[in-house]
Amino acid sequence: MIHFKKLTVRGCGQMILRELELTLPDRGTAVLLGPSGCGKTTLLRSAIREDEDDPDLEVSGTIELNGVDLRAKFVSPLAVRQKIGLIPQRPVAFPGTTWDNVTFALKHTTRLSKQEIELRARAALEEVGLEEEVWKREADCLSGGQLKRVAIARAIALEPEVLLMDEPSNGLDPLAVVRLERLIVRLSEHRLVVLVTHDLHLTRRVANVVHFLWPFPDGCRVVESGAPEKILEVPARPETKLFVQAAWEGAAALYESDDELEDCEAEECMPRRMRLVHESNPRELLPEE
Amino acid sequence: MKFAVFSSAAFVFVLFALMLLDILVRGGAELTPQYFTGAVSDGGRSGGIGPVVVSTLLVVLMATAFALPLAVAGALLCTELLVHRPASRQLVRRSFEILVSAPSVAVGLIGWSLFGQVFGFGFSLFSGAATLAFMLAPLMALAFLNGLEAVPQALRSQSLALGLTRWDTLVYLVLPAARPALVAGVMLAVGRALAETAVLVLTSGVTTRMPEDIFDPGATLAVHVYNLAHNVPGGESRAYAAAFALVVVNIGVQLLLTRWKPRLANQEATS
Repeated sequence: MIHFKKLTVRGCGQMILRELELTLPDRGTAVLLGPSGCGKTTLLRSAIREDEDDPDLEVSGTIELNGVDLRAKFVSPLAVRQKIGLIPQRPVAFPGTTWDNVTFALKHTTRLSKQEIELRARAALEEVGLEEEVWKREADCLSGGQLKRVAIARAIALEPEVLLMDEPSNGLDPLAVVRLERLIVRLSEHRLVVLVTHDLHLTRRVANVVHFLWPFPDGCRVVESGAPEKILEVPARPETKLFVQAAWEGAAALYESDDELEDCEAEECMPRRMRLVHESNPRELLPEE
Repeated sequence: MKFAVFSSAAFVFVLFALMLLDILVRGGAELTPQYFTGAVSDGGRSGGIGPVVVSTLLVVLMATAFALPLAVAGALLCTELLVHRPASRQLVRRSFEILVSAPSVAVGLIGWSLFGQVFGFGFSLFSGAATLAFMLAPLMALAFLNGLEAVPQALRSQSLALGLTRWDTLVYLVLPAARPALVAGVMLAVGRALAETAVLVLTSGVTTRMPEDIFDPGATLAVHVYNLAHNVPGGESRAYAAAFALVVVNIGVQLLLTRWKPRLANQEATS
Protein backbone atom coordinates (compact mmCIF):
# COMPACT_ATOMS: atom_id res chain seq x y z
CA MET A 1 0.00 0.00 0.00
CA ILE A 2 1.29 3.45 -0.88
CA HIS A 3 0.12 6.40 1.15
CA PHE A 4 0.71 10.06 0.29
CA LYS A 5 0.32 12.11 3.48
CA LYS A 6 0.04 15.89 3.38
CA LEU A 7 2.17 15.98 0.23
CA THR A 8 2.85 19.59 -0.68
CA VAL A 9 4.89 20.57 -3.74
CA ARG A 10 5.90 24.08 -4.72
CA GLY A 11 7.56 24.80 -8.04
CA CYS A 12 8.30 27.79 -10.28
CA GLY A 13 6.85 30.19 -7.70
CA GLN A 14 3.48 28.47 -7.36
CA MET A 15 1.82 25.83 -5.25
CA ILE A 16 1.40 22.69 -7.36
CA LEU A 17 0.11 20.20 -4.79
CA ARG A 18 -1.29 21.22 -1.41
CA GLU A 19 -1.48 18.78 1.48
CA LEU A 20 -2.53 16.01 -0.87
CA GLU A 21 -3.88 12.88 0.83
CA LEU A 22 -4.04 9.74 -1.26
CA THR A 23 -4.00 6.03 -0.47
CA LEU A 24 -3.40 3.46 -3.20
CA PRO A 25 -3.82 -0.32 -2.85
CA ASP A 26 -1.15 -3.04 -3.05
CA ARG A 27 -2.13 -4.21 -6.49
CA GLY A 28 -4.48 -3.33 -9.28
CA THR A 29 -4.62 -0.23 -11.43
CA ALA A 30 -5.16 3.21 -9.97
CA VAL A 31 -5.78 6.07 -12.41
CA LEU A 32 -5.10 9.71 -11.62
CA LEU A 33 -7.34 11.97 -13.68
CA GLY A 34 -7.44 15.72 -13.84
CA PRO A 35 -6.85 18.74 -16.06
CA SER A 36 -3.39 19.43 -17.50
CA GLY A 37 -1.09 21.25 -15.13
CA CYS A 38 -2.80 20.00 -11.98
CA GLY A 39 0.32 18.24 -10.71
CA LYS A 40 -0.27 14.61 -11.67
CA THR A 41 3.19 14.16 -13.21
CA THR A 42 4.73 16.07 -10.30
CA LEU A 43 3.06 13.60 -7.96
CA LEU A 44 4.69 10.68 -9.80
CA ARG A 45 8.08 12.42 -9.84
CA SER A 46 7.84 13.08 -6.10
CA ALA A 47 7.11 9.40 -5.49
CA ILE A 48 10.53 8.43 -6.90
CA ARG A 49 12.21 11.51 -5.39
CA GLU A 50 13.03 12.93 -8.79
CA ASP A 51 12.38 16.35 -7.29
CA GLU A 52 15.78 16.03 -5.61
CA ASP A 53 17.39 16.50 -9.04
CA ASP A 54 15.28 19.60 -9.68
CA PRO A 55 16.07 22.60 -7.45
CA ASP A 56 12.89 24.35 -8.65
CA LEU A 57 10.73 21.89 -6.72
CA GLU A 58 10.16 22.00 -2.96
CA VAL A 59 8.45 18.95 -1.52
CA SER A 60 7.16 18.33 1.98
CA GLY A 61 4.98 15.62 3.51
CA THR A 62 5.49 11.88 3.43
CA ILE A 63 5.05 9.06 0.95
CA GLU A 64 4.83 5.68 2.67
CA LEU A 65 5.24 2.37 0.89
CA ASN A 66 4.19 -0.53 3.15
CA GLY A 67 4.76 1.67 6.20
CA VAL A 68 8.24 2.95 5.20
CA ASP A 69 8.58 6.67 4.52
CA LEU A 70 10.23 6.81 1.10
CA ARG A 71 11.24 10.43 1.64
CA ALA A 72 13.06 9.72 4.90
CA LYS A 73 16.73 10.70 4.92
CA PHE A 74 17.91 7.19 5.68
CA VAL A 75 16.21 5.85 2.55
CA SER A 76 18.33 6.40 -0.54
CA PRO A 77 16.62 7.67 -3.71
CA LEU A 78 18.27 4.80 -5.63
CA ALA A 79 16.58 2.25 -3.36
CA VAL A 80 13.24 4.02 -3.87
CA ARG A 81 13.69 3.90 -7.65
CA GLN A 82 14.27 0.17 -7.50
CA LYS A 83 10.98 -0.31 -5.65
CA ILE A 84 9.00 2.13 -7.78
CA GLY A 85 9.44 2.18 -11.56
CA LEU A 86 8.46 5.22 -13.62
CA ILE A 87 7.61 5.03 -17.31
CA PRO A 88 7.85 8.57 -18.66
CA GLN A 89 5.47 10.17 -21.10
CA ARG A 90 8.12 10.34 -23.83
CA PRO A 91 10.62 7.52 -23.37
CA VAL A 92 14.08 8.02 -24.83
CA ALA A 93 16.03 5.20 -26.43
CA PHE A 94 19.30 4.47 -24.68
CA PRO A 95 22.23 3.80 -27.05
CA GLY A 96 22.32 0.24 -28.38
CA THR A 97 19.75 -2.43 -29.17
CA THR A 98 16.42 -3.16 -27.51
CA TRP A 99 18.19 -5.92 -25.55
CA ASP A 100 20.90 -3.46 -24.41
CA ASN A 101 18.17 -1.07 -23.25
CA VAL A 102 16.46 -3.70 -21.12
CA THR A 103 19.65 -5.17 -19.61
CA PHE A 104 21.21 -1.74 -19.01
CA ALA A 105 19.75 -0.99 -15.56
CA LEU A 106 20.00 -4.64 -14.52
CA LYS A 107 23.75 -4.59 -15.20
CA HIS A 108 24.39 -1.34 -13.39
CA THR A 109 22.00 -1.41 -10.44
CA THR A 110 21.88 -5.08 -9.42
CA ARG A 111 24.40 -7.79 -8.58
CA LEU A 112 22.65 -10.42 -10.66
CA SER A 113 24.68 -12.96 -12.60
CA LYS A 114 24.78 -12.82 -16.38
CA GLN A 115 22.32 -15.72 -16.62
CA GLU A 116 19.89 -14.07 -14.18
CA ILE A 117 20.08 -10.80 -16.11
CA GLU A 118 19.33 -12.65 -19.34
CA LEU A 119 16.38 -14.46 -17.75
CA ARG A 120 14.90 -11.25 -16.37
CA ALA A 121 15.39 -9.31 -19.63
CA ARG A 122 13.86 -12.16 -21.66
CA ALA A 123 10.87 -12.36 -19.29
CA ALA A 124 10.35 -8.57 -19.41
CA LEU A 125 10.53 -8.43 -23.21
CA GLU A 126 8.11 -11.34 -23.55
CA GLU A 127 5.80 -9.75 -20.99
CA VAL A 128 5.55 -6.52 -23.03
CA GLY A 129 5.03 -8.54 -26.21
CA LEU A 130 8.09 -7.52 -28.21
CA GLU A 131 9.05 -10.15 -30.77
CA GLU A 132 12.59 -11.61 -30.69
CA GLU A 133 13.32 -9.98 -34.02
CA VAL A 134 12.97 -6.56 -32.34
CA TRP A 135 15.36 -7.45 -29.51
CA LYS A 136 18.41 -7.06 -31.76
CA ARG A 137 17.19 -3.90 -33.45
CA GLU A 138 18.77 -0.54 -32.58
CA ALA A 139 16.44 1.10 -30.06
CA ASP A 140 16.53 4.45 -31.86
CA CYS A 141 15.00 2.75 -34.92
CA LEU A 142 11.88 1.57 -33.06
CA SER A 143 8.41 3.04 -33.49
CA GLY A 144 6.82 5.14 -30.74
CA GLY A 145 4.69 2.21 -29.55
CA GLN A 146 7.63 -0.20 -29.52
CA LEU A 147 9.76 2.32 -27.65
CA LYS A 148 7.02 2.69 -25.03
CA ARG A 149 7.05 -1.08 -24.57
CA VAL A 150 10.86 -1.06 -24.31
CA ALA A 151 10.56 1.57 -21.57
CA ILE A 152 8.04 -0.62 -19.75
CA ALA A 153 10.34 -3.65 -20.16
CA ARG A 154 13.28 -1.60 -18.83
CA ALA A 155 11.28 -0.81 -15.72
CA ILE A 156 9.61 -4.18 -15.05
CA ALA A 157 12.89 -6.07 -15.54
CA LEU A 158 13.89 -4.51 -12.21
CA GLU A 159 10.76 -6.09 -10.67
CA PRO A 160 9.43 -2.96 -8.93
CA GLU A 161 6.61 -3.18 -6.41
CA VAL A 162 4.87 -0.20 -7.96
CA LEU A 163 4.81 0.91 -11.58
CA LEU A 164 4.02 4.52 -12.42
CA MET A 165 3.00 5.33 -16.00
CA ASP A 166 2.75 8.89 -17.24
CA GLU A 167 0.27 9.21 -20.12
CA PRO A 168 1.11 5.78 -21.53
CA SER A 169 -1.42 5.90 -24.40
CA ASN A 170 -0.31 9.33 -25.59
CA GLY A 171 0.57 9.23 -29.30
CA LEU A 172 -0.36 5.56 -29.79
CA ASP A 173 -2.75 4.23 -32.43
CA PRO A 174 -5.92 2.41 -31.24
CA LEU A 175 -4.43 -1.06 -31.79
CA ALA A 176 -1.31 -0.15 -29.83
CA VAL A 177 -3.55 1.21 -27.06
CA VAL A 178 -5.44 -2.10 -26.91
CA ARG A 179 -2.13 -3.99 -26.61
CA LEU A 180 -1.09 -1.54 -23.90
CA GLU A 181 -4.34 -2.05 -22.02
CA ARG A 182 -3.86 -5.82 -21.98
CA LEU A 183 -0.30 -5.31 -20.76
CA ILE A 184 -1.43 -2.98 -17.96
CA VAL A 185 -4.05 -5.49 -16.83
CA ARG A 186 -1.42 -8.27 -16.76
CA LEU A 187 1.13 -6.12 -14.93
CA SER A 188 -1.41 -5.04 -12.32
CA GLU A 189 -2.14 -8.63 -11.31
CA HIS A 190 1.10 -8.73 -9.32
CA ARG A 191 1.73 -5.11 -8.44
CA LEU A 192 0.21 -1.67 -8.19
CA VAL A 193 0.12 0.20 -11.49
CA VAL A 194 -0.56 3.93 -11.24
CA LEU A 195 -1.61 5.62 -14.47
CA VAL A 196 -1.71 9.31 -15.17
CA THR A 197 -3.87 9.82 -18.23
CA HIS A 198 -6.49 11.93 -19.93
CA ASP A 199 -7.75 8.93 -21.86
CA LEU A 200 -11.14 8.07 -20.36
CA HIS A 201 -11.60 5.03 -22.62
CA LEU A 202 -8.36 3.58 -21.29
CA THR A 203 -9.41 4.51 -17.76
CA ARG A 204 -12.78 2.77 -18.10
CA ARG A 205 -11.16 -0.41 -19.40
CA VAL A 206 -8.22 -0.83 -17.00
CA ALA A 207 -8.87 1.10 -13.79
CA ASN A 208 -9.82 -0.50 -10.50
CA VAL A 209 -9.96 2.85 -8.80
CA VAL A 210 -9.93 6.44 -10.10
CA HIS A 211 -8.79 9.54 -8.25
CA PHE A 212 -9.79 12.89 -9.67
CA LEU A 213 -7.51 15.85 -9.00
CA TRP A 214 -8.46 19.49 -9.47
CA PRO A 215 -6.24 22.59 -9.53
CA PHE A 216 -7.55 25.00 -6.93
CA PRO A 217 -5.87 28.41 -6.78
CA ASP A 218 -3.99 27.35 -3.64
CA GLY A 219 -2.81 24.04 -5.13
CA CYS A 220 -4.10 20.78 -6.48
CA ARG A 221 -6.06 18.30 -4.36
CA VAL A 222 -7.97 15.06 -4.84
CA VAL A 223 -11.65 15.99 -5.05
CA GLU A 224 -13.22 12.63 -5.73
CA SER A 225 -12.21 8.96 -5.67
CA GLY A 226 -14.03 5.78 -6.52
CA ALA A 227 -14.66 3.01 -9.00
CA PRO A 228 -14.34 4.00 -12.67
CA GLU A 229 -18.09 3.42 -13.31
CA LYS A 230 -18.92 5.95 -10.61
CA ILE A 231 -16.37 8.63 -11.52
CA LEU A 232 -16.85 8.37 -15.27
CA GLU A 233 -20.61 7.91 -15.38
CA VAL A 234 -22.13 9.54 -12.30
CA PRO A 235 -19.52 11.84 -10.78
CA ALA A 236 -20.53 13.55 -7.58
CA ARG A 237 -18.43 16.68 -7.84
CA PRO A 238 -19.15 19.41 -10.43
CA GLU A 239 -15.45 19.63 -11.36
CA THR A 240 -15.37 15.93 -12.19
CA LYS A 241 -18.62 16.21 -14.11
CA LEU A 242 -17.27 19.12 -16.13
CA PHE A 243 -14.09 17.21 -16.98
CA VAL A 244 -15.86 13.97 -17.87
CA GLN A 245 -18.52 15.73 -19.97
CA ALA A 246 -15.82 17.68 -21.81
CA ALA A 247 -14.06 14.42 -22.60
CA TRP A 248 -17.19 12.59 -23.80
CA GLU A 249 -19.08 15.42 -25.47
CA GLY A 250 -16.48 18.01 -26.47
CA ALA A 251 -16.47 21.77 -25.98
CA ALA A 252 -20.26 22.08 -26.16
CA ALA A 253 -20.50 20.25 -22.86
CA LEU A 254 -18.80 23.16 -21.15
CA TYR A 255 -21.81 25.35 -21.90
CA GLU A 256 -24.17 22.78 -20.51
CA SER A 257 -22.03 22.56 -17.40
CA ASP A 258 -22.42 26.26 -16.79
CA ASP A 259 -25.03 25.80 -14.09
CA GLU A 260 -22.96 23.13 -12.41
CA LEU A 261 -20.02 25.50 -12.29
CA GLU A 262 -22.09 27.97 -10.33
CA ASP A 263 -22.25 25.38 -7.57
CA CYS A 264 -18.53 24.85 -7.54
CA GLU A 265 -17.28 28.25 -6.44
CA ALA A 266 -17.09 29.10 -10.14
CA GLU A 267 -14.32 31.70 -10.03
CA GLU A 268 -12.06 29.58 -7.89
CA CYS A 269 -12.44 26.09 -9.20
CA MET A 270 -12.48 26.70 -12.91
CA PRO A 271 -8.97 26.70 -14.41
CA ARG A 272 -8.13 29.52 -16.75
CA ARG A 273 -8.01 27.34 -19.84
CA MET A 274 -11.57 26.13 -19.31
CA ARG A 275 -12.78 29.61 -18.50
CA LEU A 276 -11.42 30.78 -21.85
CA VAL A 277 -13.30 28.00 -23.60
CA HIS A 278 -16.40 28.82 -21.59
CA GLU A 279 -16.31 32.52 -22.48
CA SER A 280 -15.52 32.00 -26.15
CA ASN A 281 -17.48 30.59 -28.99
CA PRO A 282 -16.84 26.82 -28.95
CA ARG A 283 -17.19 26.66 -32.74
CA GLU A 284 -14.12 28.84 -33.09
CA LEU A 285 -12.19 26.78 -30.62
CA LEU A 286 -13.12 23.36 -31.91
CA PRO A 287 -10.57 23.14 -34.78
CA GLU A 288 -7.75 23.91 -32.34
CA GLU A 289 -9.04 21.40 -29.82
CA MET B 1 19.55 28.11 -52.77
CA LYS B 2 20.81 24.66 -53.71
CA PHE B 3 23.15 26.24 -56.27
CA ALA B 4 24.50 28.70 -53.69
CA VAL B 5 25.22 25.89 -51.22
CA PHE B 6 26.92 23.71 -53.84
CA SER B 7 28.98 26.60 -55.23
CA SER B 8 30.10 27.66 -51.75
CA ALA B 9 31.16 24.10 -50.95
CA ALA B 10 32.92 23.79 -54.33
CA PHE B 11 34.69 27.11 -53.73
CA VAL B 12 36.13 25.90 -50.41
CA PHE B 13 37.18 22.59 -51.97
CA VAL B 14 38.81 24.27 -55.00
CA LEU B 15 40.62 26.73 -52.74
CA PHE B 16 42.04 23.88 -50.66
CA ALA B 17 43.03 21.91 -53.79
CA LEU B 18 44.76 24.99 -55.29
CA MET B 19 46.65 25.59 -52.06
CA LEU B 20 47.80 21.99 -51.94
CA LEU B 21 48.77 22.12 -55.63
CA ASP B 22 50.73 25.34 -55.11
CA ILE B 23 52.64 23.83 -52.19
CA LEU B 24 53.26 20.66 -54.17
CA VAL B 25 54.48 22.49 -57.28
CA ARG B 26 56.86 24.73 -55.34
CA GLY B 27 58.19 22.09 -52.97
CA GLY B 28 57.48 18.87 -54.84
CA ALA B 29 61.05 18.44 -56.11
CA GLU B 30 62.29 18.02 -52.54
CA LEU B 31 59.74 15.34 -51.61
CA THR B 32 61.47 11.96 -51.50
CA PRO B 33 61.00 9.10 -49.00
CA GLN B 34 64.33 10.06 -47.40
CA TYR B 35 63.07 13.63 -46.93
CA PHE B 36 60.50 12.47 -44.34
CA THR B 37 62.99 10.40 -42.35
CA GLY B 38 66.42 12.01 -42.85
CA ALA B 39 68.18 14.41 -40.47
CA VAL B 40 68.05 18.16 -41.08
CA SER B 41 71.31 19.60 -42.43
CA ASP B 42 72.62 22.99 -43.51
CA GLY B 43 69.91 24.81 -41.56
CA GLY B 44 67.21 22.96 -43.48
CA ARG B 45 68.52 23.68 -46.96
CA SER B 46 69.40 19.99 -47.37
CA GLY B 47 68.67 16.65 -45.68
CA GLY B 48 65.22 15.68 -44.42
CA ILE B 49 62.75 16.55 -41.67
CA GLY B 50 62.82 13.33 -39.60
CA PRO B 51 63.66 15.00 -36.23
CA VAL B 52 61.10 17.72 -36.89
CA VAL B 53 58.36 15.15 -37.53
CA VAL B 54 59.32 13.36 -34.28
CA SER B 55 59.26 16.65 -32.32
CA THR B 56 55.90 17.55 -33.87
CA LEU B 57 54.29 14.24 -32.95
CA LEU B 58 55.71 14.39 -29.41
CA VAL B 59 54.52 17.96 -28.80
CA VAL B 60 51.05 17.31 -30.25
CA LEU B 61 50.65 14.05 -28.34
CA MET B 62 51.79 15.57 -25.02
CA ALA B 63 49.77 18.76 -25.43
CA THR B 64 46.62 16.79 -26.24
CA ALA B 65 47.24 14.43 -23.32
CA PHE B 66 47.72 17.38 -20.91
CA ALA B 67 44.72 19.30 -22.24
CA LEU B 68 42.26 16.39 -22.45
CA PRO B 69 41.64 15.85 -18.71
CA LEU B 70 41.44 19.62 -18.13
CA ALA B 71 38.92 19.99 -20.94
CA VAL B 72 36.80 17.03 -19.78
CA ALA B 73 36.84 18.35 -16.20
CA GLY B 74 35.90 21.87 -17.35
CA ALA B 75 33.02 20.63 -19.51
CA LEU B 76 31.72 18.29 -16.80
CA LEU B 77 31.93 21.10 -14.26
CA CYS B 78 29.44 23.03 -16.38
CA THR B 79 27.09 20.23 -17.37
CA GLU B 80 27.04 18.13 -14.21
CA LEU B 81 28.07 20.22 -11.20
CA LEU B 82 26.83 23.68 -12.19
CA VAL B 83 23.73 22.35 -13.92
CA HIS B 84 21.40 24.26 -11.60
CA ARG B 85 23.59 27.37 -11.35
CA PRO B 86 23.16 29.12 -14.69
CA ALA B 87 25.15 32.22 -13.70
CA SER B 88 28.26 30.26 -12.65
CA ARG B 89 27.89 28.03 -15.67
CA GLN B 90 27.74 31.04 -18.00
CA LEU B 91 30.81 32.49 -16.29
CA VAL B 92 32.83 29.32 -16.90
CA ARG B 93 31.65 29.14 -20.53
CA ARG B 94 32.60 32.80 -21.11
CA SER B 95 36.04 32.10 -19.59
CA PHE B 96 36.57 29.26 -22.08
CA GLU B 97 35.52 31.53 -24.95
CA ILE B 98 37.92 34.27 -23.85
CA LEU B 99 40.79 31.79 -23.40
CA VAL B 100 40.19 30.35 -26.89
CA SER B 101 40.66 33.78 -28.39
CA ALA B 102 43.74 34.64 -26.30
CA PRO B 103 46.66 35.79 -28.53
CA SER B 104 49.09 32.91 -28.92
CA VAL B 105 52.14 35.19 -28.56
CA ALA B 106 50.92 36.27 -25.13
CA VAL B 107 50.25 32.67 -24.12
CA GLY B 108 53.72 31.75 -25.43
CA LEU B 109 55.39 34.42 -23.30
CA ILE B 110 53.48 33.35 -20.19
CA GLY B 111 54.34 29.70 -20.91
CA TRP B 112 58.01 30.56 -21.36
CA SER B 113 58.14 32.45 -18.05
CA LEU B 114 56.22 29.74 -16.20
CA PHE B 115 57.58 26.47 -17.60
CA GLY B 116 60.84 27.71 -19.12
CA GLN B 117 62.01 29.93 -16.27
CA VAL B 118 60.02 29.39 -13.05
CA PHE B 119 59.88 25.57 -13.34
CA GLY B 120 63.27 25.47 -15.09
CA PHE B 121 62.37 23.38 -18.14
CA GLY B 122 63.95 25.97 -20.49
CA PHE B 123 63.39 25.58 -24.22
CA SER B 124 61.99 22.05 -24.36
CA LEU B 125 59.30 19.96 -25.96
CA PHE B 126 57.75 19.67 -22.49
CA SER B 127 57.55 23.48 -22.06
CA GLY B 128 56.02 23.77 -25.53
CA ALA B 129 53.46 21.01 -24.95
CA ALA B 130 52.48 22.29 -21.49
CA THR B 131 51.97 25.83 -22.81
CA LEU B 132 50.12 24.58 -25.85
CA ALA B 133 47.84 22.57 -23.55
CA PHE B 134 46.57 25.85 -22.07
CA MET B 135 45.48 26.90 -25.55
CA LEU B 136 43.96 23.56 -26.45
CA ALA B 137 42.08 22.90 -23.20
CA PRO B 138 39.45 25.67 -23.59
CA LEU B 139 39.02 24.81 -27.28
CA MET B 140 38.36 21.17 -26.46
CA ALA B 141 36.28 22.08 -23.41
CA LEU B 142 33.94 24.22 -25.53
CA ALA B 143 33.50 21.41 -28.08
CA PHE B 144 32.89 18.89 -25.26
CA LEU B 145 30.50 21.29 -23.53
CA ASN B 146 28.44 21.73 -26.70
CA GLY B 147 28.39 17.96 -27.18
CA LEU B 148 27.35 17.22 -23.59
CA GLU B 149 24.67 19.91 -23.66
CA ALA B 150 23.26 18.36 -26.83
CA VAL B 151 22.62 15.07 -25.00
CA PRO B 152 18.88 15.12 -24.19
CA GLN B 153 18.15 15.84 -20.53
CA ALA B 154 15.53 13.06 -20.72
CA LEU B 155 18.33 10.52 -21.22
CA ARG B 156 19.79 11.53 -17.84
CA SER B 157 16.47 11.70 -16.00
CA GLN B 158 15.24 8.37 -17.39
CA SER B 159 18.49 6.67 -16.40
CA LEU B 160 18.28 8.14 -12.88
CA ALA B 161 14.64 7.00 -12.68
CA LEU B 162 15.85 3.42 -13.23
CA GLY B 163 18.00 3.72 -10.11
CA LEU B 164 21.38 4.48 -11.70
CA THR B 165 23.70 6.91 -9.95
CA ARG B 166 24.63 10.22 -11.57
CA TRP B 167 28.16 8.88 -12.09
CA ASP B 168 26.96 5.68 -13.82
CA THR B 169 24.59 7.72 -15.95
CA LEU B 170 27.46 9.95 -16.98
CA VAL B 171 29.90 7.14 -17.73
CA TYR B 172 27.54 4.65 -19.39
CA LEU B 173 25.08 6.94 -21.16
CA VAL B 174 26.01 10.60 -21.41
CA LEU B 175 29.66 10.30 -22.43
CA PRO B 176 29.01 7.59 -25.06
CA ALA B 177 26.16 9.70 -26.46
CA ALA B 178 28.48 12.72 -26.61
CA ARG B 179 31.41 10.76 -28.08
CA PRO B 180 31.14 12.26 -31.59
CA ALA B 181 31.49 15.74 -30.09
CA LEU B 182 34.38 14.62 -27.88
CA VAL B 183 36.25 13.22 -30.89
CA ALA B 184 35.47 16.37 -32.91
CA GLY B 185 36.93 18.45 -30.06
CA VAL B 186 40.13 16.41 -30.06
CA MET B 187 40.36 16.75 -33.87
CA LEU B 188 40.01 20.52 -33.64
CA ALA B 189 42.66 20.69 -30.94
CA VAL B 190 45.12 18.48 -32.81
CA GLY B 191 44.68 20.62 -35.92
CA ARG B 192 45.34 23.74 -33.88
CA ALA B 193 48.41 22.17 -32.22
CA LEU B 194 49.90 21.14 -35.55
CA ALA B 195 49.46 24.63 -36.98
CA GLU B 196 50.68 26.59 -33.94
CA THR B 197 53.96 28.52 -34.27
CA ALA B 198 54.17 31.58 -32.00
CA VAL B 199 53.70 29.61 -28.77
CA LEU B 200 56.26 26.97 -29.76
CA VAL B 201 58.93 29.37 -31.06
CA LEU B 202 58.91 30.89 -27.57
CA THR B 203 58.81 27.65 -25.60
CA SER B 204 60.17 24.61 -27.45
CA GLY B 205 62.64 26.48 -29.64
CA VAL B 206 63.73 26.16 -33.26
CA THR B 207 66.37 23.43 -32.92
CA THR B 208 66.07 20.78 -35.61
CA ARG B 209 68.19 17.98 -34.13
CA MET B 210 66.61 14.69 -33.02
CA PRO B 211 65.27 15.09 -29.45
CA GLU B 212 66.63 12.51 -27.00
CA ASP B 213 63.83 13.05 -24.50
CA ILE B 214 60.91 15.38 -23.90
CA PHE B 215 63.11 17.88 -22.07
CA ASP B 216 65.19 18.54 -25.19
CA PRO B 217 64.30 21.50 -27.40
CA GLY B 218 62.87 20.83 -30.83
CA ALA B 219 61.09 22.62 -33.67
CA THR B 220 57.72 21.40 -34.84
CA LEU B 221 56.81 21.31 -38.54
CA ALA B 222 54.96 24.64 -38.42
CA VAL B 223 57.92 26.31 -36.68
CA HIS B 224 60.31 24.71 -39.18
CA VAL B 225 58.26 26.06 -42.11
CA TYR B 226 58.25 29.53 -40.58
CA ASN B 227 61.98 29.35 -39.93
CA LEU B 228 62.82 28.20 -43.47
CA ALA B 229 60.61 30.85 -45.05
CA HIS B 230 61.85 33.77 -42.97
CA ASN B 231 65.26 33.03 -41.48
CA VAL B 232 67.02 30.67 -43.91
CA PRO B 233 68.16 32.28 -47.18
CA GLY B 234 67.37 29.89 -50.07
CA GLY B 235 65.04 27.84 -47.90
CA GLU B 236 61.76 28.73 -49.70
CA SER B 237 61.36 25.50 -51.69
CA ARG B 238 62.22 23.53 -48.57
CA ALA B 239 59.60 25.55 -46.66
CA TYR B 240 56.97 24.51 -49.20
CA ALA B 241 58.05 20.85 -48.96
CA ALA B 242 57.80 21.00 -45.15
CA ALA B 243 54.41 22.71 -45.46
CA PHE B 244 53.25 19.85 -47.67
CA ALA B 245 54.49 17.37 -45.06
CA LEU B 246 52.55 19.35 -42.41
CA VAL B 247 49.34 19.12 -44.43
CA VAL B 248 49.90 15.38 -44.99
CA VAL B 249 50.54 14.74 -41.26
CA ASN B 250 47.45 16.80 -40.37
CA ILE B 251 45.19 14.94 -42.81
CA GLY B 252 46.65 11.61 -41.61
CA VAL B 253 45.96 12.39 -37.94
CA GLN B 254 42.44 13.68 -38.71
CA LEU B 255 41.64 10.53 -40.72
CA LEU B 256 42.90 8.38 -37.87
CA LEU B 257 40.65 10.22 -35.41
CA THR B 258 37.68 10.01 -37.78
CA ARG B 259 37.90 6.22 -37.67
CA TRP B 260 37.12 6.39 -33.94
CA LYS B 261 34.22 8.72 -34.45
CA PRO B 262 31.00 6.71 -34.21
CA ARG B 263 27.97 7.46 -36.29
CA LEU B 264 25.90 10.32 -34.97
CA ALA B 265 22.91 8.78 -33.25
CA ASN B 266 19.73 10.80 -33.33
CA GLN B 267 18.37 10.21 -29.87
CA GLU B 268 15.35 12.44 -30.26
CA ALA B 269 14.18 11.04 -33.59
CA THR B 270 12.17 8.28 -32.02
CA SER B 271 11.26 9.91 -28.75
